[in-house]
Amino acid sequence: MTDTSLMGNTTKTITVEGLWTRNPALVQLLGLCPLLAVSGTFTSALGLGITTLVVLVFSNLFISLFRGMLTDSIRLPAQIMVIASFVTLADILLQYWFFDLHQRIGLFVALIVTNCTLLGRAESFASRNPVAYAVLDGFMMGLGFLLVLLVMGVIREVLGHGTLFTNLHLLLGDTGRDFEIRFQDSGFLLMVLPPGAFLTLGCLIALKNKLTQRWIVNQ
Amino acid sequence: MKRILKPPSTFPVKSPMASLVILAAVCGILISTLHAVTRSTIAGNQQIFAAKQLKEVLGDPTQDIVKLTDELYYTMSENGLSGFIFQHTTHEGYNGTIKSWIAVDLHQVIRGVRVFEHHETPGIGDKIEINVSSWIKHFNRKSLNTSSWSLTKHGGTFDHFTGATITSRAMVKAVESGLTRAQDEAVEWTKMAENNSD
Repeated sequence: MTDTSLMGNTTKTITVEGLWTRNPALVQLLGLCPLLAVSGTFTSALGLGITTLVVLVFSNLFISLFRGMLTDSIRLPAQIMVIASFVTLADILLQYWFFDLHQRIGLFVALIVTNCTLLGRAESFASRNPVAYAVLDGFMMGLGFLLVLLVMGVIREVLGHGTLFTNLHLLLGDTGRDFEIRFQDSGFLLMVLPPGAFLTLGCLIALKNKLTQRWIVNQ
Repeated sequence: MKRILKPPSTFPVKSPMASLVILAAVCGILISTLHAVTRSTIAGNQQIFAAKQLKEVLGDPTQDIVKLTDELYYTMSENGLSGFIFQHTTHEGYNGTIKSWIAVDLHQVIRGVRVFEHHETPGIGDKIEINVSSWIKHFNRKSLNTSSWSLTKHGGTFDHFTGATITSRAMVKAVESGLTRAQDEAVEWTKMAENNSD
């Protein structure tokens, strides 16, 4: 096997693992706290999903970059420190660019530190792999998390609030106001509350397993 | 997948403690640099956000809003002092604390009320938020003398919204006690505002 084919292979494996076979939200079931808390509307899901993705990419990059230095005795505290630092940086940047959005999801930004996806990827991947792979892994895991968050945001907003893309101007500026779609004035309350998040996640996991099963059978 | 388990040591640092210190220094420098660069803009954002909230409560863009304390502002029209905007908190909400801004004129008549922090049930109790329902505007132009400060079903002036009697009642009681406070402290606040504008 030549170097390039190995690389192509690994890239594909990392991508498939992050988005599907080891999706942090649907398979590893990590980071449930933000998943349940901010998936009430599309906008907050998008805001926190992107923030998590960016933090994950940079924490993986950093930890892979310094992996030669990180011996067993200091690896965990060093990883948590790096993650906490990047969450703090993200928090500052959110206040800098999207202050109004930060007023809504700010509480959960700090909680990204406790999202086990980040420490999990740092420990099991970034600290053992070259920088390029670690960055790709962070991106794909973050993207997998973001996509699930968005799907849940859409489902819960449509069923729970009867709207879609509401408050998108917090992210996109005034043009975002035009995106709001209103189906009806009120929705199904359960979907807004935490149990609705659990139900939605459960249905998504079931759907994912069904699809995987069918895919294997077809092969 | 092929994983490289023992990465080549790329840094000539032997002691784990030194590694941790170096990494902490790098993180610290990153954070403090960004903080220094963004600090003034963020402070500005905060002020804009707070000012926007206060303007909304007041509902009159021609008047100036001047700060006395974090929780008390006074308003100036062309003719001088025209009223106050103050923060008021109740703990009787369905899920505890509800914080709001209340704007009154010099006769303690309400010019506007806006809830800015609460934990009421989404879809039911959150109708006290202006983004969700215009219910809160019922308080406009009310005062202690002109209204009976309870819900219509208890013989008062204010309609409750369906399914959230506790939240509605807490809000009515909160505004009433806010007005009482404004009346009690009117002299004190006026003095503070006059001293401030001197």
